[in-house]
Amino acid sequence: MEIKSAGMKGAGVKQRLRVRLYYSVTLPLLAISILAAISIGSTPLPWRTIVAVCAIKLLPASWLTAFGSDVSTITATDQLVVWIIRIPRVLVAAVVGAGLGSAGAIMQGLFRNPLAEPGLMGIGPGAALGGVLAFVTGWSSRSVLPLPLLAMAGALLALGLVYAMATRGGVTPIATLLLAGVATGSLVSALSSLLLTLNIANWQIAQEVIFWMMGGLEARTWTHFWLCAPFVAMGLCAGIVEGRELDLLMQGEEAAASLGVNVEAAKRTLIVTVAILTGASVAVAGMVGFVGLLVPHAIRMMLGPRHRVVLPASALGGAVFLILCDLAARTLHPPTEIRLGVVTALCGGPFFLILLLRHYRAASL
Amino acid sequence: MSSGLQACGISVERGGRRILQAASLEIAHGNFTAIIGPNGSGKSTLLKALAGLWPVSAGEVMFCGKPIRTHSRREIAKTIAFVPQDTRIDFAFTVAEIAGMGRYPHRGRFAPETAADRAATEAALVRCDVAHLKARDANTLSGGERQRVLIARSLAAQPDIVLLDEPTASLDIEHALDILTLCRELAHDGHAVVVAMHDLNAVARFADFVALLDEGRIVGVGPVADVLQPAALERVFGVRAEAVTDAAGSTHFLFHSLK
Repeated sequence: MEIKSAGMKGAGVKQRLRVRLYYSVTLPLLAISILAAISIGSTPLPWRTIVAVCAIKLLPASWLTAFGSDVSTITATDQLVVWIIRIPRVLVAAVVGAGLGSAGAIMQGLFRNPLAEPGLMGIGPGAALGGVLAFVTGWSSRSVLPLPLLAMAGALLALGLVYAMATRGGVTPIATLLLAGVATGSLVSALSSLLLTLNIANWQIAQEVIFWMMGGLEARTWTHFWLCAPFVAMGLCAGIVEGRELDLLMQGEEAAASLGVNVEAAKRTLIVTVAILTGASVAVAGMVGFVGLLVPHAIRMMLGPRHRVVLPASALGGAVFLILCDLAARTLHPPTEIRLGVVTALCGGPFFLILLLRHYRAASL
Repeated sequence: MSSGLQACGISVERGGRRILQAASLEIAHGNFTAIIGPNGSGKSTLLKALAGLWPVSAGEVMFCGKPIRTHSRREIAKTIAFVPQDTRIDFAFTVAEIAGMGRYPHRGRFAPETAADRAATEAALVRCDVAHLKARDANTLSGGERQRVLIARSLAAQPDIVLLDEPTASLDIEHALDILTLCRELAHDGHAVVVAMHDLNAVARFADFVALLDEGRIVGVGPVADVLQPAALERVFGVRAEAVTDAAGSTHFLFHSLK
């Protein structure tokens, strides 16, 4: 009995150690990948230049003397490449990765299914349709804002439709939600394809639409970052706040209700949270698959299924993953950029299979 | 401990069908009450209505002197535990984590696990004889172990009333006896234990009171010996019941088809 109880204590400590280990590896990795993604590209930049540009942009002028010659040699081109082109793109990649990673984790908990992903409730397709509308109306070429705003509106409209169809008398059965979501998703995707077909003669628009559907982060600006970051931050916080409810919902709705969870209220909050996270991410990055499926799954294998642990870890993991995928998309085949959605699927697929095989091998031992 | 729970003439409708009709039942502390009846007679429905999980269309479930629908889920969960029939566990939560979830109604949103939480969880695990499984992933457990872990989860909330929906449905005879013995002990400790079950011999052996359901109506309620009468069983279950008394003086039933 003594030996057994020592073993039990060991398990809890081991898990906490694993969480600590995860962050002590992933946080430096985040910093390194951000720096690498800013530095690598058609114009390679040394890290000193990056630091100097950031110093010029962020610190009061009187402090800059501390950086000495680094600062004085910075050209306007350096500033443009670092501050206007690369940093916003890398930060948008991080935020979108965080948003999709945590949205996927919530979806999988809500649907009690490790294969659920953010697109399932029609939110992704809704956002995509909004984006397509921005292209075919030509609004997207006039300013930065119409594309992300229409995409977000599309996400919320799709969710509203799905939710209204699945809710009767204040009760939203998850199975009905799934069916309504899949049906709405296919309908909305068909509308996107219809718009694409109707505009295929105008090759420029058609190309934009196709690229949008494959996801990508070219020419992203600080505006995109500020459009998406607050929503992702908000969604992540809401998810963590509801983390314990999500753990209980994973045990089944009856069990959760009998243990004291206000099930319908918790589901409502979590569904809207997924919509905000997914909508904001798709709005600035187009359709990027696999992040929401792969990242939370990998995290759960490493750190266990508790959402207060899984959600922040998935956000961080998703950020690193997407920064690296976007770096690969930019640099693997210059001067052509590979579409981001293609890269995430190409990197994510095999990685996912390896994890899955290892998991089953470990389980069968 | 005066957390009275009673069903006062409740009816439950689902999808336009009346599954429970004018059912009245008072739950007594320190007793093992069995709810019996054929499939579809409304056993689960009665339990879920008692737990406040399903709304009633007529009558009222009274809890602590007020209709149960006026209590918050959190308040109910501190006193009434419900162990559902669905024991599926899909994700690799450890047994300790699952049992710890029983503390949900007692914990603030961001409150860390207190010594009291840990003690209650530990006691529940020991009570259900699964403390040695604490570090195991709950989705790797056997059916009997999983059922005991889920009972431990419900006991971690330190409830006065424990409702179990066919806890022995998918268990072999040894594990079924373990679970029923545990229920018996919980009643002995002063809990009100209400179990929906099928095995009438187990009812005769373990339960104090029985509520017999037939097509949504309670057709018999009272001490086991009064309700488990061959005539009533024949009428409700459509089988001929023969009562035999063994050497130790306890009653067993033999069932014969009427055809």
